[in-house]
Amino acid sequence: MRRILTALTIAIVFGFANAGMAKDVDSHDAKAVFVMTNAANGNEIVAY
Amino acid sequence: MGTRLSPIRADNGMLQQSRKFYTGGRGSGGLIDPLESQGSLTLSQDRSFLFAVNAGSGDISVFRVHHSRLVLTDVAPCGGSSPNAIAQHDNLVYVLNTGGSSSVAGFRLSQNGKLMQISNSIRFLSTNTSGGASLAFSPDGRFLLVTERLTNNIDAFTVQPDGTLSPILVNSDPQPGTFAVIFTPGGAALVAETGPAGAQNGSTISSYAVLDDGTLSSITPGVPTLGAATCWNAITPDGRFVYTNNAGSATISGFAIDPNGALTPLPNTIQATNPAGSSNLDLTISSDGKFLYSLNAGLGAIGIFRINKNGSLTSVGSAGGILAHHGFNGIAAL
Repeated sequence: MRRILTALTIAIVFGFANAGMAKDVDSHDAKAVFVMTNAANGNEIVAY
Repeated sequence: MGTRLSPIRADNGMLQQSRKFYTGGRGSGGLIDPLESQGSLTLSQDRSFLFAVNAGSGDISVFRVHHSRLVLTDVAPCGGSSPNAIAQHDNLVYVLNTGGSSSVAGFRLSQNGKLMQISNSIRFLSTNTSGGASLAFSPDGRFLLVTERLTNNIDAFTVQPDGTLSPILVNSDPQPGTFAVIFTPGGAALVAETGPAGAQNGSTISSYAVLDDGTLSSITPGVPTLGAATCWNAITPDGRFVYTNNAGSATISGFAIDPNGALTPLPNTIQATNPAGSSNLDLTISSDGKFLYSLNAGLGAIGIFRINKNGSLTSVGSAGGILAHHGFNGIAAL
């Protein structure tokens, strides 16, 4: 029983972690605009 | 990790905050349009990666996109010098290098955002000082087209199964001022042309079919944009409309695209006017096709326009937060 609970806990923790990662990677529908500074002393991307 | 900046002005409520993300390389610097290209900042087809050229340090950067947050995954040598544009199709990435002997170089993109240069992938353009300005893959990935400003050529390469390119096939653009090429979803190539030197509002846009051997066949030649210095173009995701940014006249022109790639000017052609002195360079369209964004480098602003159902544009404001006359180039939108 204790092993089952431990396994369930691990599964739940990993499940939440993966769900968070999937959401982060897949949510590209949110609007954003990017512009490049092209600066000679260090190029940067400005994100809106 | 980005440097958080103070909130910027947002006239329409859409562009409210900005952050800066270091590319790990150096740009070219300059004042207005130093890269003279389209595609210096390119989103991948699935919009999960953002590619940036570092013209000063001769490398290219790859970011993983998480909404408006970017995570740098790689900085790789460009395979030449002075890169100014990038194109991507599936896991194939090609970079346009304008320095030295003008060339393109190919890379494989891994799932974790790393680039690996493809052996024997470098192909030279028609001449050393060709002024390469843009490159684009056909939607089926069979062809890579490259525009040359200084020779007025449009180069065609056939993509090989191993990611290398066929020998160059040089097409001479019958219209003067070749600048930027993009493909419609149906496979027609649209080319923005600045027009004859010295002409007033003499720029054009043309459409071409790409034949099996890479030869370009004219569909609609030289439609006037009624603007000056037309260098950049962007297509709506549904492929119905294309817009050009006319930097010399601070205007934006619009055209309807039929399924065969033929172009028809929208009523009055000019769909929007930016403030005088905008030097409106690159432009991009949001993935939902609702908004067009214009990099107004002369004023240090982003012009924001709503795309209406009939293709007309309505200005909904602008966003600041960038420096005027500081060499900004490249814009991309989710």
